[in-house]
Amino acid sequence: MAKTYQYCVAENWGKGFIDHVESTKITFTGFPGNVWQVPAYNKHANLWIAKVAGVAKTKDEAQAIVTAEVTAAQTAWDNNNVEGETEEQKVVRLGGRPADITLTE
Amino acid sequence: MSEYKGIKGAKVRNYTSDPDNPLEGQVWYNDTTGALRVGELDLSAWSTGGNMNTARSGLGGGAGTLQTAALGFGGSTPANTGATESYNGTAWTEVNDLNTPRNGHAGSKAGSNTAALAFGGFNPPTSILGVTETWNGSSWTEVNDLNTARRLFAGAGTNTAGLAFGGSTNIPPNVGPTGATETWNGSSWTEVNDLNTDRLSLTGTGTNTAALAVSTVTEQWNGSSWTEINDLNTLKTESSSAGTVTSGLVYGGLAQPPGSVTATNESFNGTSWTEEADLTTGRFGAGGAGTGTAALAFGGGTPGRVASTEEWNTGTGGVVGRTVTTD
Repeated sequence: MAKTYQYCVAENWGKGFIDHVESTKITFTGFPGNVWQVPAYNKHANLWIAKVAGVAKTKDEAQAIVTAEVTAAQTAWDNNNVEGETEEQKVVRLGGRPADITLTE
Repeated sequence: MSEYKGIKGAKVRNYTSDPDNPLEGQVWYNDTTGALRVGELDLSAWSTGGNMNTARSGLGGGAGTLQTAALGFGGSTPANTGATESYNGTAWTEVNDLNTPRNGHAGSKAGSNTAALAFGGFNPPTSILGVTETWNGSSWTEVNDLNTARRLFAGAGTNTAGLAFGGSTNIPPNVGPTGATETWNGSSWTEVNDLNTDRLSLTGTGTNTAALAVSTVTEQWNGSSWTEINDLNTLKTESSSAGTVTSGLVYGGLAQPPGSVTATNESFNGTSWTEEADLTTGRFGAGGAGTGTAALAFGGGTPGRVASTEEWNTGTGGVVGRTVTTD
């Protein structure tokens, strides 16, 4: 099956990392760990990856990076407790436990 | 190599200036600028702005109606911070800190990077704050407290005409949602009519006579009372917002239920919400500033705390000329 997305790791340097015109041409989705998802087999996506010197990752490699970041956030959430607090109260205080993120092919 | 004429059956036309009403896909050469140009749709989108110096969440909204003159203050790094930063449209600059570090506070969303108000918030583990500080462009000065100390609430208005609404009055683990609303006249807070739905983790935008309170319920303030209006298409909490009651934007947050980070973005035209292009990076508890057509999202949790900024610019939907870049 043909891929829908491609992944890369690139550090967001700020202004100009994704410019307005680029963002109107393709959909960018950023994930924890500086992982970026852009369309596969797409000229505009390839040009952007080259511009930001993105390091290409397979979906599985990208997933491992994202999972490590999410796991760290989940562990921090698990360890952030107030004595006498119910689970429901904790969710209100902190928001829900960080959800797992599953990348798509 | 294929040539344009061979593909299209005509040469690229030369113009001394861009055509007034180019067609999508039309190609021309601008003799004046020496650039090959193409007609492309002018669409709305998020692009990246300058990164904050301090990554944080719980920014409490921020302040500023201009995408090029905004202020971010306070938050959780996860330690409480009073760090304040000013944005000029390109970069964030560190300026003087809040006197009282805090998170879950609110700000005068219709203020600017030279005149803002920070109020309320949480100073873990035990202090719910009513502390209010006013920003004059260079430093924060403590002024009169909110009547109802609170955290995880929303603000609107300016540092001479502000509005505070909703939140929690209790120290964790107790929730204690409130609908309490107060107006600020430049020197003191006055209790006015409550929200219809007590709640925390909401976002607010507008002025102290025309504001929106948005989370899983949306209400509009007319200067004296709140009225429930149409809800977001995607209900969420801890979102960010910008704009007014007739041209608003609400973006990011935690989807309900169960609390996964969302990048969804919706515009408000005074009556109903329309889904727009998502943030490039989903985030909650981020700062928001600007207008409904030129907004900022800065910092927040992804779930890890980030320093990144995104800029929203609404396109006309028409066709505009853009210079062709070579591969």
